[in-house]
Amino acid sequence: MSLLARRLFGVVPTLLGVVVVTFVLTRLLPGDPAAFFANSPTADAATIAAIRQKLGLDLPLWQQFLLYLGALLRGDLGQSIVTGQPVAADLLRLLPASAELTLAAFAMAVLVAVPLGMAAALRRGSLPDHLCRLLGTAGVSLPTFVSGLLLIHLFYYRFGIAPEPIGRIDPFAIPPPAMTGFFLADTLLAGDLRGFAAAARQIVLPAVTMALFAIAPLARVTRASMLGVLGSDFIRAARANGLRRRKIVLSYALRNALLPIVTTLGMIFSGMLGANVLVERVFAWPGVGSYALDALVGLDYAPVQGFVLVMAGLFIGVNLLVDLACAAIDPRARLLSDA
Amino acid sequence: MGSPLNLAAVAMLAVLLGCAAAGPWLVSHDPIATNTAMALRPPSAAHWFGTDQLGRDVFSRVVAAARLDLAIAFAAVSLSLVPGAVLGAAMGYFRGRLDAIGGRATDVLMAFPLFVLAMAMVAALGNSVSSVVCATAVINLPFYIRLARAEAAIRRDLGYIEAARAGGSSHARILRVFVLPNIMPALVVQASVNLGWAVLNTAGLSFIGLGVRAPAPEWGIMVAEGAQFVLSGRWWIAGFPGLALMLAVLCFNLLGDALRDVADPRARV
Repeated sequence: MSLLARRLFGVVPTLLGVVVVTFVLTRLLPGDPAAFFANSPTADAATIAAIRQKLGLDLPLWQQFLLYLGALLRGDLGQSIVTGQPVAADLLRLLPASAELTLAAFAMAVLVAVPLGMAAALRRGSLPDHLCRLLGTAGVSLPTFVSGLLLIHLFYYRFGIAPEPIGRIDPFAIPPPAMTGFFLADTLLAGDLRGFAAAARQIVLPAVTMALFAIAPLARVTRASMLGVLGSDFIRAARANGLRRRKIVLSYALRNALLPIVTTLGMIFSGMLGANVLVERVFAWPGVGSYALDALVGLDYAPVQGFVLVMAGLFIGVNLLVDLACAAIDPRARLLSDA
Repeated sequence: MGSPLNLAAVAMLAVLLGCAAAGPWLVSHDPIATNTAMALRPPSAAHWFGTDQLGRDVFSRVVAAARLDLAIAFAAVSLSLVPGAVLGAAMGYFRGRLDAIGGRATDVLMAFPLFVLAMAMVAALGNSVSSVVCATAVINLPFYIRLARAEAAIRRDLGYIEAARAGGSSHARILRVFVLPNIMPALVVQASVNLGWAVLNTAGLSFIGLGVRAPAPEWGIMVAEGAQFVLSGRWWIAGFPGLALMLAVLCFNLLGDALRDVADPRARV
């Protein structure tokens, strides 16, 4: 396990760097937080000074950083001025909405892109191949906020089959009892099939919007990687030995082609965390992205800091998972055993 | 290189650059002059792309916006290409402590989801166009550093570099005359793909209200302004700038792919 431990340990300096960058960035934010907390721009200088002292804003920057780091270790991300709540609580409350959307989009992208890329590699010049290449170039050019609006125009306005893009559920409906925070899972757990259908109808368009931009690079990499593997000697040997096509494709070729696909999944996840902000904006989705945007507009620095940190933390975690998956797929990477 | 798709991309680039250079003189209407009597008209012969909520001609605005969007993208890409190339080449050539520190720094930058980092940077540096340029340059920097480092590291022990060293060239001269020109083709390919990202990034930032401000014609802002009218079926206000944005990004992506095929025929997929 020593290499795995080393990999885990290697995350520490990166995390520390991320915390430093976030700290520096948000200290540069315009606007004096103390003036905000004093709740009036005309508050007298003594009040503002008192609040600055209370918030630790009068200390030298390095002391502020240490205080911040200490608070961070206790799970304290500061207080939001806009909502008046602790940022950590706000983020925890809103994270399931974003996570549900991201995971739904991620699942959609993988389910479409990997089979499409495989089909394209298996039958070069066929319809799936052309589709894959078209998607690969056009898909990455599609800004998520434009494709989202296009889908709204078509499916809400033109065909009238999608609900109004105003969040996770109909504003007059009662949210399901919170168990997981995922409306799709919660409604099912409560046995509320109509609620499930309603939640699903709301999530389809934003999830498709996000999936659209993820499908392109994934299908492209799958196709290229499968093509490389399918041309190698061991596939020819397997074919010459009369193995079944299904076995060759799924357990010989796909398994060997998986490494670049998994690495791309990690990159796509990063893109999705960024796209979240835009997609949530288009569909009025009440997730962490919308929260951070509202805070940004209100010059409320603690939520922005918290949001950036959580996103970076998630991304670092995903990259670790990707590394572990790569080790599991390719034993030569020897991440798990110390050979 | 001569495939019809690539030719189309080159033609598209010419149109884009033409719009950016001469846009304001090409169009029939002033892109920021409002005329509320003519607000929200669908596309017609007088207004090819219709008019927006303030009666401004969408076609004129879409054409005029090319200048700002392309200027930001080109500025951001050159701002990340040049320092990235020099820093990365030095890291790959000297190795040692510089490489270790630089590598750490790029790791930290790449640990952020890029758009989120750009958002935080624009918010921190002040809501202006120059902040968008800076933020876009910084989020692309790690890619150039890594690429330049890898390319320089391959070459540092090759014969011609060793010969230059034996001939008494200084490190600075070796980097400038022998390393950098040789790693440039790979970096230029990366830059042309990056131009597409930079346009997307800029438009995305202004869509959420960061960077470029109204009433300046810019594709991202125009889409944001038109977004509320999509619900009532007035698609043209957001639709045409969105289309222009998509075509611009597509154009840069196609050119990047074509250049990659020329620079490295083995990587063709």
